[in-house]
Amino acid sequence: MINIQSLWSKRVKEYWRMAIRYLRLIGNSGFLFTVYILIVFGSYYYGIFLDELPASFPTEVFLALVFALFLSKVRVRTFLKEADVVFLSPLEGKIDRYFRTSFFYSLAVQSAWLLLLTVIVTPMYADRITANVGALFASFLAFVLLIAWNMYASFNEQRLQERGVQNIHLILRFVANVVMTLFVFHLVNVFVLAIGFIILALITATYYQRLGRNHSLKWDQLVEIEDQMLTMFYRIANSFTDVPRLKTKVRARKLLTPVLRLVPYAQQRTFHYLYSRAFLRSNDYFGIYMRLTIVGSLLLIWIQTDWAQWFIVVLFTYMTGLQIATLYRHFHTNHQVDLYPIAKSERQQAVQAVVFCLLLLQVAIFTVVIVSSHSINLQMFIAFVLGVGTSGVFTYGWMRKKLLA
Amino acid sequence: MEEVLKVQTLKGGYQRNKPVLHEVDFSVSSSEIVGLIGLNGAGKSTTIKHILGFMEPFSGNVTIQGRTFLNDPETYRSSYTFIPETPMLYEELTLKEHLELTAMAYGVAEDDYKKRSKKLLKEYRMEKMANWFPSHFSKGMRQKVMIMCAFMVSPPLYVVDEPFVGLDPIGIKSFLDHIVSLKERGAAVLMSTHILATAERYCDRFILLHDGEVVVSGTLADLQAQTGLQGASLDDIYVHVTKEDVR
Repeated sequence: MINIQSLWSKRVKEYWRMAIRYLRLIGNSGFLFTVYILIVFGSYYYGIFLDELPASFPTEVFLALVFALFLSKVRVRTFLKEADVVFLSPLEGKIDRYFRTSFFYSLAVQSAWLLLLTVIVTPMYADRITANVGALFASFLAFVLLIAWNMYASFNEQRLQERGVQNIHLILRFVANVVMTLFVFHLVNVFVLAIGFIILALITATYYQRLGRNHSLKWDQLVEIEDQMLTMFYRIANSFTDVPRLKTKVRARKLLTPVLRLVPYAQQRTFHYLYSRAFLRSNDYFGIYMRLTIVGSLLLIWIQTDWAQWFIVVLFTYMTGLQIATLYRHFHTNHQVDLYPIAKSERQQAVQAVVFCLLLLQVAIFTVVIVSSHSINLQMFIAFVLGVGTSGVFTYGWMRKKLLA
Repeated sequence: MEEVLKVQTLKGGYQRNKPVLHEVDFSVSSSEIVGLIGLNGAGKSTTIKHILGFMEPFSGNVTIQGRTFLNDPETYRSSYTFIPETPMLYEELTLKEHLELTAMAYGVAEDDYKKRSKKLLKEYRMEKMANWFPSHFSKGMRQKVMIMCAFMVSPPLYVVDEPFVGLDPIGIKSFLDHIVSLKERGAAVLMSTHILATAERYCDRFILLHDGEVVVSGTLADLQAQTGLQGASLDDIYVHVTKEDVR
């Protein structure tokens, strides 16, 4: 029999080898510099923000809610894989140690995140609650205990079959977390806090232990949770570099479906039909598009210099183009598209047409934003022409080269 | 009967010096269902890939209605539909959109699309799932989507690779009834399967493929005569033919 414990360490190592590769890529992508800038500017504005924050601001409640949210969402990283549902599930009674190791590993990782969160709120804490470092340190320790409790609880809640029942547990746990974090931030007497912890311990010993004894592990859900946690990492990495393993999650976006009806029913429109749906529902092309459009529009409202506005229109059209141009390889792994009796050149024209339309729409939005903050004049006209020009050069120049390559 | 699909002395595979298929020869005519039968690794999938135009023959050729793939790719592709062994769906399209897209791609008139999709959804009991996305489908439902898409179009040739896996009994019956009615309307059908009892009942002729060669082919009576097994079932013939190799 294979040693399950060595399986665990093998998987953790595998994960970190992969993670470090991506982290290195992120580090090389100029991200660290951005973080540095963010810290410099952030801390400056943070100071101003604290000065301007009214004295009546309920700091304790605010911090309690933030920490309670964080605590309620901690989960055990199990490193399970889909195939484990078949191969490991027969060992369910014997792999407590596997999960215990996972538990302590996750506790360490979550504590690191807690540390980061604590560092971020420290100025606010020192400004509004107490400048006593000991109190902050004690709070941190209390939160580590709460992470452990929440992880144990959420791991056992996963054994419950019904999502609805699980959600009720989550809400109740959130309430308990709010109470405990309020205790911590109100600097209540240590004994009150201790009583809180004793109650949690009692709940654990009576209720959660019983859940563990009476209900089997729900392997499907464990794998799903593991998938979600891994996907979160991939998604972050994906904004800096291409992550092929990122499973695409499809969103229906029902409200926008009528827009898709604009593609007429015709053989020549087959790939317009396909690519427009891929854009709207898959891989967050739509999310990136919206974000860039909104950020661009805000900048246009904020910065009123003519030439700067032209620059923004060109830059954001180009950046959006870069992001959504990856649509062209969206169906590379699906053989079905190769079967259709439609020439490859038509497929390429379709993806270019979709990208071009989307860029034009964005340019139109930018123009409307400029008009609404200026008035109809030459400046708006120049911005519009530059935007349309960029869209055209991007789609029929840059993208065409990529497609023919 | 007109020969729709013609595979002539096809030699093919992934490496020229290690061909998977040796001189494979067979044809499928209109109004005919032909069973392509063989063990795992016999070369069925490779044969199908050559027919679909995904692979190029080293020698010999494959024609559909007299045309090879390289003659005219678009016409060639429009003359068949394919039901793959593993369903290939678009995760971002609903069931109904799969049907619509297929109809569009093969140039089916819009009215026909509407009529056919209604009928197909009813026949395969998928009306309720018309607006679902594939992530909510079971294996059998995914297979049904592929079948419905293939039947949305009426090409002269249907290429079907192991269609029964995961289908419920009613689904299998609908599928087979459909295939028979297509045949009666003049379509040619090539069906690869391991479910020999069903193949025996529905196929007009069989091609037994073994190690990349056609070992025997013909009607059940032909196969019985060639192997000397009078009155034997397709199962027995299959075991007999493949066993000889082991000896």
